[in-house]
Amino acid sequence: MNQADSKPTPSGDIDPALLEILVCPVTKGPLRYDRERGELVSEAARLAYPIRDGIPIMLPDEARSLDG
Amino acid sequence: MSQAASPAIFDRALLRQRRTRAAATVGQVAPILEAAADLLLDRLDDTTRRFTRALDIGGRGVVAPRLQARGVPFVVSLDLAPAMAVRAGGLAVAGDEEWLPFAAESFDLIVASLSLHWVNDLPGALLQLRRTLRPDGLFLASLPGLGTLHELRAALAETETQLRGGLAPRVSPFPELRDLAGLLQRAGFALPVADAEALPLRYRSALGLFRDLRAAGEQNAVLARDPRVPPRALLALAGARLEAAAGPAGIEPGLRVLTMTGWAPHESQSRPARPGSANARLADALGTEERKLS
Repeated sequence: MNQADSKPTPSGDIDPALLEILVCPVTKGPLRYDRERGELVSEAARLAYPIRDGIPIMLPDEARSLDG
Repeated sequence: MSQAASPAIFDRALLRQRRTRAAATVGQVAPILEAAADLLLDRLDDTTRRFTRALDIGGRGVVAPRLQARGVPFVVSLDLAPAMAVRAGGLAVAGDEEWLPFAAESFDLIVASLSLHWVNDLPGALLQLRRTLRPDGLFLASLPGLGTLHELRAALAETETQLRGGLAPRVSPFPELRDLAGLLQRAGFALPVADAEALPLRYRSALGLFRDLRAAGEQNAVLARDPRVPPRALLALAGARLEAAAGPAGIEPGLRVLTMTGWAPHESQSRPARPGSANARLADALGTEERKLS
């Protein structure tokens, strides 16, 4: 397998193999991929983790609160 | 947000800034990081296991390419700073070892080359790392141990005491070898091993050493650092002291590398039997007579 094939695209798409193993760092629960907003959403933690240039930023203090 | 009651020693936000800035300069210290990575990854030669899914933590561009060259097809690179994660060489993820963002049993190999020494809650991080390993997966980590930058620590302490009659921590506290095997065991790793190796470094001037530490993003990130004495003045004086004390070979700041290896438990691994479960007498095996201690 060649990793070059699976590099994130410039549009900010995230690698599917990576998406499969990412969880919310706070709850270790599942994430929902919001392609439109470019975010990984943890409903349990009420946090949305941003994806910048295809890189998931899985840091609780960089995440957007879903409760506004 | 705090994860546990463990005291915070390091300023993680500052560390992230430093690593972001160092992403552009870390190439300058590549030879040191490469030597450390080779020292660590040599351990892979001791096992016949083939690894297919690896996590590279804080590899700074020297670990992931080596894993790929060894035939590991899937490598994820985790770093606190996105800019550093991008240049690491695997699939980039920005994240925190204290808040690991990976599902249980995602990897069969985790490598952390000189990267776990800025973690506040090392026992907690090790536990989380063990959980992301598949059964019989390997954890390989190296970190600078007690004795690293020892002369620099002493020179800074003497200079600062002279300047203002007091001391603030300026060189990160490093763990001691005997702490590490216990930590691995506490985190549930099987067959834990910890050992120490010296990685010799040599500098002609103190400035060269400071420049490398900065290029690697390894300046002081201790929370209790004291902002009253500007590091610039202090460093100049401490640097002069280091140079005065140096031998003909120059300044040898000494990197003492502690290596940890541990396996995620699996039934195929050997383990000690329960005490009292023996069905033969040791005295018989030794062909001797058992006597009570008087």
